Amino acid sequence: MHGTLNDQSLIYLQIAKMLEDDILRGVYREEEQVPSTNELARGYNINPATAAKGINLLVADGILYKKRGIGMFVSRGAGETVKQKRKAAFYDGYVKPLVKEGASLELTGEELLAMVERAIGEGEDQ
Amino acid sequence: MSAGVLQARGLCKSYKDKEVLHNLDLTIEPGKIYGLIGRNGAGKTTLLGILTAQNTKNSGEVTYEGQPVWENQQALNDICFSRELQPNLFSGRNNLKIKHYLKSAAIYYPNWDGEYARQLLEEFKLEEKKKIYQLSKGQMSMVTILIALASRSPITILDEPAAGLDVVMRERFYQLLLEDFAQTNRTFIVSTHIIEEAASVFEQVIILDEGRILENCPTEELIDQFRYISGREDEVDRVCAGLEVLSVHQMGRHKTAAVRGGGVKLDAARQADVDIAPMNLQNVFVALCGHGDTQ
Amino acid sequence: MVKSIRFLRQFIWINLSAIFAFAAIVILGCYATGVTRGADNLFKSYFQAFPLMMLFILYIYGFALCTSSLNLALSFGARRRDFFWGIQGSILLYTVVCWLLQMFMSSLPALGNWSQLDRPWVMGSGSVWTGIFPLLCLTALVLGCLSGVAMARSRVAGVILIVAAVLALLAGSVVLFIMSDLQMWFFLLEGEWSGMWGSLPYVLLGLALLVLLLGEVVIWRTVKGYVVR
Repeated sequence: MHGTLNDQSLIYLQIAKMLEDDILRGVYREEEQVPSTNELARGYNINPATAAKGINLLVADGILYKKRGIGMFVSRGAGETVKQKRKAAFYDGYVKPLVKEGASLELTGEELLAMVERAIGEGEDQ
Repeated sequence: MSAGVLQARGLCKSYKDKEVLHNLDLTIEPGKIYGLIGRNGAGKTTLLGILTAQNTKNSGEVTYEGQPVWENQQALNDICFSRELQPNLFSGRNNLKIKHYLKSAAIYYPNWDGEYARQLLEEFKLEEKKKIYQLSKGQMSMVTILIALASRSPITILDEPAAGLDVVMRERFYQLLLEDFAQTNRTFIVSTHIIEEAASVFEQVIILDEGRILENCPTEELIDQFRYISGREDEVDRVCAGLEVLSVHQMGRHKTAAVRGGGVKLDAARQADVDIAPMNLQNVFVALCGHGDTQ
Repeated sequence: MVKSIRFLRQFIWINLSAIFAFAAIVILGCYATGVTRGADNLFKSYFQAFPLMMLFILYIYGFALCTSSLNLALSFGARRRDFFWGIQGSILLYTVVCWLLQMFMSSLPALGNWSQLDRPWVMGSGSVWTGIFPLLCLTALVLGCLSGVAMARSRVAGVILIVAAVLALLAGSVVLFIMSDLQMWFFLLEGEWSGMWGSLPYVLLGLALLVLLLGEVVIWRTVKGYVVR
């Protein structure tokens, strides 16, 4: 397998995540066509069935839809859908690990919150 | 081009006193790329030989589209078994030329694509009139691959196609394989030692260990069942209590366990102060077939 | 079966060409070195012994039929029983072609007006020989197949069989050489052992047929149960 794929998580999930990231970044806009299963497979040297699984995941979430005989397209409002999806996973994926790590470093709740606020501040400055 | 189902049931094979395949069941469904992985001596080539009626069995049955494969013209037409070439044949050097192999393939494989064969010859920079014993190991592998791909057989089996190829050629091979698959949707069975590189190419993986099939399921599904759990030994032990532990590696008080179990079973592990990491296909294979040799 | 014949044709073609080339060289050498005018040299010996050499060559070709050709064909998905008949066809083809060549060569001195010799030109020219030669070709080929089969099973058995086959071919050829020499023949027949010598041709004939029959059985069983390497 090529390039940015790694063995840290299942390939089809990485494919799905990559497409989602691209949608958020505006690489694929609403109603635009995304690469086909075969193009993805060829590009990353993976089995087409794996690529298809990643795409189907996004179809099931309503982020992509299929135009018969043509290919896969980005749904209306896909960007919002992706954000909602990621917000739902944000707590388990980012917040809980943050708290767990803080606990193992014996940081108090106040110290953690202070750091979070500082980071928000720095982010706004940029 | 449609393939039938190739199936083995209750297959047993012994060489002299040693039983090499034990009561083996295997179903190859059409339209997938299978990876057949196993250690040296696990019985991969023997199994493939029996599936293709090129080797004899002691008991059990092997059928293609419901009919026994033995002396079955339909099965023999539809299945291509491309083996590793030998530089020495019986008594002496392999004096056959590449063009003899190509001509023979054209005779025996009904779907042989001569044009494709020519393209591959050019790409691999092989000369038809060269004799087999004059070829390097890499070139012999390329001939194996060429014959398998150009055969356009509904079921195509490659035995160690990547042996002797350097990493760039191996990548090219996976690319060619996937391109062919995308075009034709043939069934491929690739037997290989080089596991991790090829993992993303296999839709389904068959693990053969000491004559038994340990696993035969979709690659990602299989990998998803395994995790490394590591951390302080008592924490790891506590968490692994309800899980199937395959192997354990310890350095001082740091313990890493390879476990089988997913989803709910890992909840306890997620709460604890241990690291949970995924395992790739090679890790899984070593954990399942290493038998504790490597610690 | 068509596939197996087409497959074997590639090799038969090369092998027969080799024999023809060899024959051509020997014949041209005879003309070039004056053997045709009575000279006595290497080419004369080759010419005279040519049928014997053909038998040895056929023995080697038979060896390949049941080893490398068999292995290659089955590895490409040939049906065993089809290949068995392909082998039979090959054996027949080799025999017919070599027989014709032998007849040609044995009549060449007469046709080409070569100077006469006491002894016949080609080993065993004459009607007896012409009738037996195809049988000897078949035997040589089948023996070759058997040797190949034995060699594949065990080196020891293979070597033993090869040595035995070579000795048998040599012995048989010497006997037939003697047979074709009328003077020698009369000499033997008038001696004490005439009875034994007299029946020798029939004994050899019987042996050859036996070898053929057993050989075919062995070949059939080998092909049926062969495991591709």
